[in-house]
Amino acid sequence: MATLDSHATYRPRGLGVSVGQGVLIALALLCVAGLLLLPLLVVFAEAFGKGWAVFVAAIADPDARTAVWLTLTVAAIAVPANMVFGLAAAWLMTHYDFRGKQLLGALIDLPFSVSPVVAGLVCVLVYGVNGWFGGWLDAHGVRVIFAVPGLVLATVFVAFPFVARELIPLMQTLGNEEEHAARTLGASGWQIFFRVTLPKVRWALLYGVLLSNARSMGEFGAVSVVSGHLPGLTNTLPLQVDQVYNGGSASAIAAAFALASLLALLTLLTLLIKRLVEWRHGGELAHPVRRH
Amino acid sequence: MSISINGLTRRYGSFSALERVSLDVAEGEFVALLGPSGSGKSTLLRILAGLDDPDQGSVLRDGEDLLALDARQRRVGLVFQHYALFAHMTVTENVAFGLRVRPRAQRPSRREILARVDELLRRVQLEGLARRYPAQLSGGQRQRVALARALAVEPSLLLLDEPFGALDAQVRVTLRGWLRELQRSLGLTTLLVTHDQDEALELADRVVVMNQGRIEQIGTPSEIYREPATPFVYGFIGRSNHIEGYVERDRLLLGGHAIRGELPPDLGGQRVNVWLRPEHAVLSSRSDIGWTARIVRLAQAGGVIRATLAMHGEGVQMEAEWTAGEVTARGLAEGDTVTVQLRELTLFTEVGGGQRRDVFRPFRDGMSPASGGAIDMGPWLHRKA
Repeated sequence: MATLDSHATYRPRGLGVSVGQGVLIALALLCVAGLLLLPLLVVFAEAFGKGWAVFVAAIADPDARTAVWLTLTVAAIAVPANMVFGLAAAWLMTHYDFRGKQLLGALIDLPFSVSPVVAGLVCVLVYGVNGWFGGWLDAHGVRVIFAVPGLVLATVFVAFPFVARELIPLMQTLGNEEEHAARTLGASGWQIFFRVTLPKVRWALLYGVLLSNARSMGEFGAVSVVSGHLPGLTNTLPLQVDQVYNGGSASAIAAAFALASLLALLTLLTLLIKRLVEWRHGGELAHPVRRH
Repeated sequence: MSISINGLTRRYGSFSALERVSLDVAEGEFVALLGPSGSGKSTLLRILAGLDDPDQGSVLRDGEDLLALDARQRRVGLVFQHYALFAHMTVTENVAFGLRVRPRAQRPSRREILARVDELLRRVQLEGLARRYPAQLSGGQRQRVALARALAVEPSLLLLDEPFGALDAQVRVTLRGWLRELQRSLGLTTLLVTHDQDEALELADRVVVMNQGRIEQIGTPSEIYREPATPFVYGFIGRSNHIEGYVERDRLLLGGHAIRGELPPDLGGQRVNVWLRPEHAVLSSRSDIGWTARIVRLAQAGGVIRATLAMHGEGVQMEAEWTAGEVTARGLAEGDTVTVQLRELTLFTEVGGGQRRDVFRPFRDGMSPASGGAIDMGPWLHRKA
């Protein structure tokens, strides 16, 4: 049985770890623990550190409740808007050839590369009282900056690319033969979109929407510039956390963490749904990362 | 319904995909568009389906302007090479799609739709697979679903774009016979695009050979094979030999050999392109009548033996096809010397941009070695030497 024995040396060695690999893995784990996991735990630990009563009081505070409500409202407007924009942009980028297509592609990515603070400032410069349209808007009694419309505008801007960036590679891979087939079968443009295109990309769309939502609810920089920090009026949850924390007292810090834990929870929920989508429909999501 | 295509031209930048293409298709006719890739056959199909627009030309369906209609109103069934089935719909939903998207006033009832889908699935022999998704079907099954889906809207014209291109050889041949039967029984005017000449010749009533955006020849399968109108068609359809020759009064000079026969007098003194089918290079019964050649290679090809011959003289190579019986009876092997007679040669001469075509049938005893001064005097032979 010498031949059989010799096979033993070919047994898979995937589990054997060399010293170099071990160091790298340890380093990665340390980074994940120190930079990601620990802060998350600290948020929850601090939130409940002063007891349940402080936590409830922090959440029940009218300003805090307004902030939660405002965050959800802004997300409820910005996310559907970005979904429609993203779908339209992806459709345009993959179904038509036109002059300036490259430029449009670059513009879609712009919010990724521009600092959110700059984005907020741009909003102020354009829609602020002394901005381009600000005077006209003010004259008609419309307040954009230091009001909810401004928050929505800034949020739409920073969360814009997620849906389009998720859809474009997938739609490019799938091509449009099915759409052509639908057309020759007599379907109208809307029928093609709702019955053929949308079902094809639904999971990628949901994935993009979730990412866009996470960004919308967590955005600080751009929103901070346009908000004006009016507690109970224009403070979203991230801004409220910041403001309460800067209040300074020990109970204020606990309250800030309580609110932060709420924000973290929202984000974790989004991530959980995202993981679930990935797990169930991973094959239908075309990731740029996976393609290159 | 009959289709009349007139002067259709489509250019992409400087590339001309279709160049003044005209074609009439009779009601119930099965026409195959055959050509190499880039010959414009798919472009023609896409224009008929309404997925592309021509730069010039017109298409009439029973006298009605087809190009004026949007793709969705044309009632033209298109079957794609890669099926283009809706992946998220079952077979039934795929087939029913064209009926379900109709405006309410024209839409059949739910029950009628399902009845029609059932009937179509029976027609394409997919009864048991109604609830499957395309991903759960084989290539041949998918293509039949695509066909049923196209037929569901009762098209007046069926367009098939390389429908069997993605299938393996056996399935392809089976589906071919089946498709012919189906088309006949429906009496549906059908255009098939293919680069597979067997498919075109076997399926179609008429074959349109296309090359570089132009129609080279339109004819029945046997006309296309037996009387190719241009050198391109001769070379593209079936197997062929191409040799340059020179006409000298009543003789054709070919690779150092003279062949006597009746030649049109006005071809005298001209260079000609000589084309010959392998089956027209037959083994001579007498070694002194014909053109001697050495057998370079013998290969079994289906029912025939394919021989590569090095002809005596200037070393022209030629392909011949003989029956296995002949080869065995004569005990032929590679390296042997044989004598062949050429039975039917097609001579193409360039005349003012076009191609003049003559068929040349040599006298049975008209083939002799090209010896002596007379032959070497031909200007073309001199040039070659």
